[in-house]
Amino acid sequence: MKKAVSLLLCFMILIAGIMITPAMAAEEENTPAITEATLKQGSSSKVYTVNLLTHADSQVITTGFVEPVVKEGGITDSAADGYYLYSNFSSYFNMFTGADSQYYYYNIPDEMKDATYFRMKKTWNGTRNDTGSPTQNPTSREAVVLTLNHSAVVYYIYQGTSDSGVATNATWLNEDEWAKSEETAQYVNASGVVSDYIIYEKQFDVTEGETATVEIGGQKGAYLAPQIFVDWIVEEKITPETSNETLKQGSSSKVYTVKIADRADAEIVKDGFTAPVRKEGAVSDTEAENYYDASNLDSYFKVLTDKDYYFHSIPEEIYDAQYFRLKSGWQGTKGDTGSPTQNPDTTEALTFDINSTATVYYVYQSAILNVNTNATWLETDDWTLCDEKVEYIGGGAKYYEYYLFKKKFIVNPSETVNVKIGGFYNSNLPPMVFVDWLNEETTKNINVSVTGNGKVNKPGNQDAAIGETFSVMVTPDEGYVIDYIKFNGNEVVANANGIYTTPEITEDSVIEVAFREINELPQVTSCMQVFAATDEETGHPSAITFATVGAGADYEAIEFGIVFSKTDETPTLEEDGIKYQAVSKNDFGQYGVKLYGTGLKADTTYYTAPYTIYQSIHGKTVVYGTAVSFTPVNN
Amino acid sequence: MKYEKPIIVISDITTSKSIASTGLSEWLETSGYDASVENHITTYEVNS
Repeated sequence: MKKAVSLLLCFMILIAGIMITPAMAAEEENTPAITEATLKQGSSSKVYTVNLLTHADSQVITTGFVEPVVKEGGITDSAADGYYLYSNFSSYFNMFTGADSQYYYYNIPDEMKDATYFRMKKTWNGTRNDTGSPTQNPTSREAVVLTLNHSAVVYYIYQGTSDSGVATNATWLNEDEWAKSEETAQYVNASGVVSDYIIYEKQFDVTEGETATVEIGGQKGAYLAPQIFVDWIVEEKITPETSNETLKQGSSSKVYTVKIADRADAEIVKDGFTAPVRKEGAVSDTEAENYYDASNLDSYFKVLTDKDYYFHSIPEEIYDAQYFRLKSGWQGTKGDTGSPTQNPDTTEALTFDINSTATVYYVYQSAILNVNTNATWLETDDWTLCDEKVEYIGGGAKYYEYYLFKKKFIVNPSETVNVKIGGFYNSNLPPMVFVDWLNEETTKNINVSVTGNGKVNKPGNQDAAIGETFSVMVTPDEGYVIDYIKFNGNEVVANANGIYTTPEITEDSVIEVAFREINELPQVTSCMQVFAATDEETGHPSAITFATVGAGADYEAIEFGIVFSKTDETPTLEEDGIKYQAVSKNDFGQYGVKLYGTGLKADTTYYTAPYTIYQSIHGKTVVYGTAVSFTPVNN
Repeated sequence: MKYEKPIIVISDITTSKSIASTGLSEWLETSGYDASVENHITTYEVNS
């Protein structure tokens, strides 16, 4: 009876194994699968095509290699006769199906042990040395053909203990650049003879939604059916998490190091933000003094572990972010920069490691932005000021709007990055920090780099939503201008406000901003003599002042003319000179301004100076030419 | 920038008219200015 139950169990397992084929598994999105697998073997007179996924004598083993297990009472000394005989083991990893199941792998390289193995009939090697059988043809590429929907390393067992015969027996291996593995596959035949076959391997890269075809040729003289392992390349899925969360606070006399994960009075909140829920019948007048009192709420997202302070709202993009909920008092002694939490220059107040790319948000504990006093590290470490703020309800149910800064930290696979949060001078609260893990399905990275003297409002790595535009404000330092802005290598321009907006984002992108020194201010050149004459039409005195507007890159002459004075030898617009604006100039920047009329007296000396108002990125500048004097003439 | 109201009345601005001042062309030849500048003289009448 017991035997019957075992047989039934084996049958059920077999049925289950057959029902879950790799091809069926492929229906699940992104599941690595072999969607097609065919073997061609036989002889010159007839070639048989075998579907390896469905043929009754074929098995696709996805459960991985298992070492042989010596049966109870069997030989355990591997040096003793009979040790390797299949009959010495209660279980082993069969090389072939059916009657030839006595052949087994004693050991294979570790990297192949979890690979998918094609277990075939031993006799599917075809007629030996008959190159009419693809399995025996050294130049064929159709002995086994696989279709993969996912990247994999394919291992081919060459039926020989050295590669001396590969050049003639399986030319396709070298021609198709299969690489010889340093390790071997140790197999045992039905007589218990152990052999080490050499292994060739090749990687097939498959992009999502695509497939790759693996073409495996024949081996002339092969005694056995082809032996193939497919090892999927699967990126390890890691759970994003922080570690080594450390807060340093206290005073000049003593700094305490708080290991947040070890503290019962601290929490690492991973559930995400929840908006406050008001109690039924609670005060509804938003102007009422106690409107924001926590006693009006059924639930709220606490800022601290030991107070009923709460976030009234935070930007939606960090609703699902992780939050460090700390204890009141851990801000250290207020105004004592000996406490890292109060030191605006330190970057060591709160530190932690992240194992996955994230944008870290820091709540700036004030409604007044004064980074140079409160938290200089935000600027020196290139943190970005967010457009949105947080609404925070503090002691006495008072409502505050606090600024928010963010910075993106890119973490490569299998690495960690240490995040450093600095102090806040005069803070009343411990650091408030959110960690928003990257969602690769909705977000792309924009790397904004700066060269030269100037700033961007979003430096470094930034998140950009797929399908949306991304804007960055570019501001040169005084005396500098934008040399260029490039988006993915192509030169682009900012608008009049210095803002550059990308097209819709579809991929990780790069914005490069470079500044250069502004060109020298152009000069205005005077004609050192005024043309004084009698006006032909009116008979009144006239005088024409000529000048030249200098041209220069980075400057636009937006207005030019002369400044006139009866008393000031060097008239200027700032010192009550009278402005006579010219309306045009020739191609050389030359223009004249004619004054005529009874206002000009023949016996009086007047003074004129040409001027030009230049517009640059930094504003308007007035440039004067040399002042000249003239005395009108009588006719 | 602050501009004071002119103490001399500006009554007219001539922009496109080519003004003819006796001897101007000859004078310009020796001044180093291009002759085309004659077409870019803005005229103001100054009354007392």
